[in-house]
Amino acid sequence: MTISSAASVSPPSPRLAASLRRPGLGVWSVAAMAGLWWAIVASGTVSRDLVPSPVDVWNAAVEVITQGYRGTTLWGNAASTLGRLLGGFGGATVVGVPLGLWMGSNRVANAGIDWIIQFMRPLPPLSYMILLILWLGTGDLSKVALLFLTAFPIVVAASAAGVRGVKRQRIQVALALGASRADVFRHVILPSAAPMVMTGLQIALAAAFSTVVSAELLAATDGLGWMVISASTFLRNDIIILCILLLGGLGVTLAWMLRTLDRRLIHWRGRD
Amino acid sequence: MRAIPSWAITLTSILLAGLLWVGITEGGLVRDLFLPGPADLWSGLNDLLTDGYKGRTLLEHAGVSLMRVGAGFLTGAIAGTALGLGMGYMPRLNALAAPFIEFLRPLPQLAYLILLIVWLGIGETSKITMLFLAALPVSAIAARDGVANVPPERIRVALALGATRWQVFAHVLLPSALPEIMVGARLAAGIVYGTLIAAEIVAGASGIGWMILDAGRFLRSDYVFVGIGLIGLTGIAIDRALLLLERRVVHWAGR
Repeated sequence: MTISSAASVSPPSPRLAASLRRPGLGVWSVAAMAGLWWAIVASGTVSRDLVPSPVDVWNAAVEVITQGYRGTTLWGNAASTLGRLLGGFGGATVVGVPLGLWMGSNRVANAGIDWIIQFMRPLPPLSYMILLILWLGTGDLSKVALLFLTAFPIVVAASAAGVRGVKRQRIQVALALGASRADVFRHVILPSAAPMVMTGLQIALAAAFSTVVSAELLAATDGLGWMVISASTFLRNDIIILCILLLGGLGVTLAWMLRTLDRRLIHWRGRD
Repeated sequence: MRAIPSWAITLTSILLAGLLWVGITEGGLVRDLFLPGPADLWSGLNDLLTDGYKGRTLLEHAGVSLMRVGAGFLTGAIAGTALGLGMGYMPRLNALAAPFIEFLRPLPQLAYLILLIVWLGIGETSKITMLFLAALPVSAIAARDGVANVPPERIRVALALGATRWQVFAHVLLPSALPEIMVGARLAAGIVYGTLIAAEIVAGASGIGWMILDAGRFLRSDYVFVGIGLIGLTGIAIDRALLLLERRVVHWAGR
């Protein structure tokens, strides 16, 4: 089926699926955009200081990789950002998932704790960053705590909702067949709640990733976010664009990694 | 023995937390610089409401922030929805635009705010452009998936009954996709609001986000707490307002 015949008659959803499977046009679209970008800069309609050309960005990449940026290396900065992210997000996962599972299966725990989670959830994390700096100082601890608090309510709420969504009959059947409460938790509740937990983790990671860059813009001496703000004070727009491209690539990669893990781990998703 | 009702447990828990707060602050266990007590908060709130903070009252700061959210969210959600509908209906448009949308979505908004500030200046334009770009991909993907999830039979039936492509779009696709569009709009509003607060903190000279940062620098933690409380309440209010709108507009959702 050619693209044009598909576009004229058949309904959209299979066509959309087909277009998603066929990356050709997307590659051309990105290439055309890069070409347009290069042409605009080369024609001299905008100042090269404001809008560097793709070649400038490439040169900046080579420069930063080989010589580093203001005494720091690109890998070092990327590692700082990822380290903070993993510290905060990992901590939130380790504490949040068990807490959420407990809240989902224990009414008293839920009633006692849920209001705190519901209060934290709509707060933009950066709004309490200034408090964390006041309490914990400007070092890495306040940033890791910020990312922990960003991911934590999302992880807890998703885990608790996952447990609450388990069908009553399943638990009753398992109990009637002689399973112990521990068996029920291990073999009924956990597998049923796992897809929701994984979804929560993916949302939490995206939120934490966005927050880590903001935190580094505000108060940091290394990291990719710091590189962006530092480059802006020296009007190095080529380095800003390089960092934005890297951050975008990193965000896409992190999301893809968790999605792959989800598919591997929760192979029963959607076959309930 | 009858089980204690859940609301009583929640209330007890809130009261305990409140008592702990009063105990710690009144007992002098922490300095009010780190954790202001209830009385400090109340006087801070009154200060902010009557005298204001650096030339603007609390509500004026909140108003400035809400104007920015409104401008960025409306433009971004409308443009994103239009783009998403087109992407769902025209696979070639989807193939063209998808790489940019998928790249833009996970990108931390504050990273490109810096570039926008260099290009457009520190004023409102750069902030609203950033909020536009924050809302755009979320709305576009929701609208595209909304269109893509319409059962093909419905479209075939409408076409078989003699509907034009435009009629199919207006009377079949749009109503079927509207629930997802509204969910996308709520998601986008939350992202826009959180992003704006972050933007005001990183690069602002007015607005509620800037207020808490500036107050924090002067160690006025009572103002910081009042600001955070207001930010939380406003965020909830925006979400509830959109939820209400959603129930009104898509009363057929789930049917």
